[in-house]
Amino acid sequence: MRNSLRWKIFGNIVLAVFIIFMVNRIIAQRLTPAAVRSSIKEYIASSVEACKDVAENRDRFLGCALQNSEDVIYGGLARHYILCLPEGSFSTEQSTICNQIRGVTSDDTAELVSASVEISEHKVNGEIWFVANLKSNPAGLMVATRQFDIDNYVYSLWNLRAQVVTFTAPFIIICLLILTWYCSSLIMAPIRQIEEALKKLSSKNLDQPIDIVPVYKEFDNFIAVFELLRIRLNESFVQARRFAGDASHELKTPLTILRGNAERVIARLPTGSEEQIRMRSVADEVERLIEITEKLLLLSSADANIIQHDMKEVSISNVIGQLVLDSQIFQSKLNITSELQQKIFWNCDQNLINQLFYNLYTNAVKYNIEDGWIKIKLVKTDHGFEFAISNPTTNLPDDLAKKAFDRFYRGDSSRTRDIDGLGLGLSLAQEIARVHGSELIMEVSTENIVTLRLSYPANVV
Amino acid sequence: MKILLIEDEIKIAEFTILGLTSAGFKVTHVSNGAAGLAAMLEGGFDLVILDVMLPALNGFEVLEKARELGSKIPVIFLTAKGELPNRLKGFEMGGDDYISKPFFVEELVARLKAIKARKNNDDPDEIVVGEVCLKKVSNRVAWQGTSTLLSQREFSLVEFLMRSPGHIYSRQEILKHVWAISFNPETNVVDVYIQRIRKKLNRNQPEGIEFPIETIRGVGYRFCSESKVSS
Repeated sequence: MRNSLRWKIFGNIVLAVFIIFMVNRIIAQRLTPAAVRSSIKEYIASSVEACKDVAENRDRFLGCALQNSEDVIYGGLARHYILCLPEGSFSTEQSTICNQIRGVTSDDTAELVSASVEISEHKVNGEIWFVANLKSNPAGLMVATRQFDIDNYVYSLWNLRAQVVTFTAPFIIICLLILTWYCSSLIMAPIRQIEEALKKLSSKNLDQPIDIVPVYKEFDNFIAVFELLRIRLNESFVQARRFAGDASHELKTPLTILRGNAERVIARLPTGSEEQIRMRSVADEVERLIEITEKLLLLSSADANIIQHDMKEVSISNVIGQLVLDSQIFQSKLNITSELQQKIFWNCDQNLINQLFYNLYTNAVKYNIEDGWIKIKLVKTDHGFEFAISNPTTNLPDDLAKKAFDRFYRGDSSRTRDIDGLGLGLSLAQEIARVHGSELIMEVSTENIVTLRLSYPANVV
Repeated sequence: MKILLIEDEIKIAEFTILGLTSAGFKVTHVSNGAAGLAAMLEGGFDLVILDVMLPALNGFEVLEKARELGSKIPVIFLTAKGELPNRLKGFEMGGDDYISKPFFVEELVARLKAIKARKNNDDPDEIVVGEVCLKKVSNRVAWQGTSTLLSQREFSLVEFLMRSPGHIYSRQEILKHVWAISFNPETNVVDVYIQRIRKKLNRNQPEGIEFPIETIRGVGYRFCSESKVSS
């Protein structure tokens, strides 16, 4: 499966966010303990500073410390304070610790953390205690906090943080998803614009400028480049188109001369002589060349969108009726049946649609089977009509329906050597159909029956 | 009937002159527009065949000038551009007919004759060649004292051949002109029709007298201006 741009962007953003979280966590855990410790010291000092006046009463002191630290993240740490007063502590257990701390001298010199509070580290029974005391009276009030409790407290804070992240993760992912979709839609908007313009662009309207004002100015260049491409494409297209038209035009004069002279010679040669017969076949080949030239000219004007037509209301029931009558005389070996609704009119160029229907008919004859049949059908539809001509055939190439309308395509090459034709008929028929706002398609059934279907108006896709 | 041919392509002019002369017209050829205009104004011609793509003055300009200067001579345009706008332009300018290259000299002859007939106030619905008379409105052929009704296609075929008596048309050409189909539908329909026409017309005739459509084996058919009496 191919990648979707949106999912790719989304995946990358999610990955980036995850990496940011992880890096943040690692940095926080590895690099911040010292900073955490010093800020904890500051907190302890500040709570001692604030509550030193109520230190005689342990409950009031703790209450004060907790109250003082309502908005501070380390606020909960106050619960782990041990308050040592010179007259003894709250419980015997705490008094023991207080005495032990007092009995041990600090490893390093005490550090003055706030205006009047200094904190020192004491090692008692293998545990480190942070001890805050007033600088003015080191032997007086003392607040001790075990490092183990501090670490535990910090650890629980980390856990809390991790929990918060876990809980908010789905929400964050949804936000990212929406963000990705929104951003990619923004980016895609001008691309969609160009896509729409490209969709409308075909060989028939290559000469019209692409009329897009991009949503964002960043895309101006892109559109300009695209417009340049169209201009270049149009130029070479016009050139190629003009070439076919010009070549056909140029061929007309020599062909006229050739045919004119051939006809004169035929008239002068002894009647029924071998020379006359040979000359006749030369003239017939010239006729064929003229026919090819005319078809190419018509096709090239179809490409250039300059097919000349003279639209009139024509009874196609009659046109096809005549075709059926003619064909029944033309092909005595084929069983030609028809089902025609009368009084169907079409605003069309009589000359062109004659070519169209006769081309379809000739196609049905050329690629028929021996003693085969042709079915011709004309029915009214809601807004127009549908014409269909079917015939059985053999040696169907798999890609027939796709290639049948290609110029100079003549079906299976091993078979068509003995079929007279140019392979221009169907592509010409399709162009004529297009000029008239109708649609010509080929259907191939599994029973080797080929149907050419002309519908007017064209089914708008 | 004197014809002025204004055509710059010498080779086209050559066979056109040949064809027109053999059809009994007198042709004067001029190969550029200015000289053509001068000749037109000089007078003495019954009809002008005018190429559109000419050096010096193009065909439309020649006609425009000629009409401005009071010439009313009938004009047939001849051009490689068979497309509609040109055709309409040709008529707008006062051209009487329009024939596109590549053209058959025989077709040109037929158009000339039609214009001539119009001018002479001949019945445009009748074509007479030798003893055969075609009546367009009724689709009837009068020949050897009898009148025979033909179907539309049969009639068109006889008419087509009769427009250029003596000229041999191939089956393909007949198909193109009578059935208006420019491809080979692998059919012998022309032969079938010729047989039918002969059968219909020869039916009431004495043995040996045959309708003058002749088969040229391997080449095609032609209309003879005189009835053939087979020996």
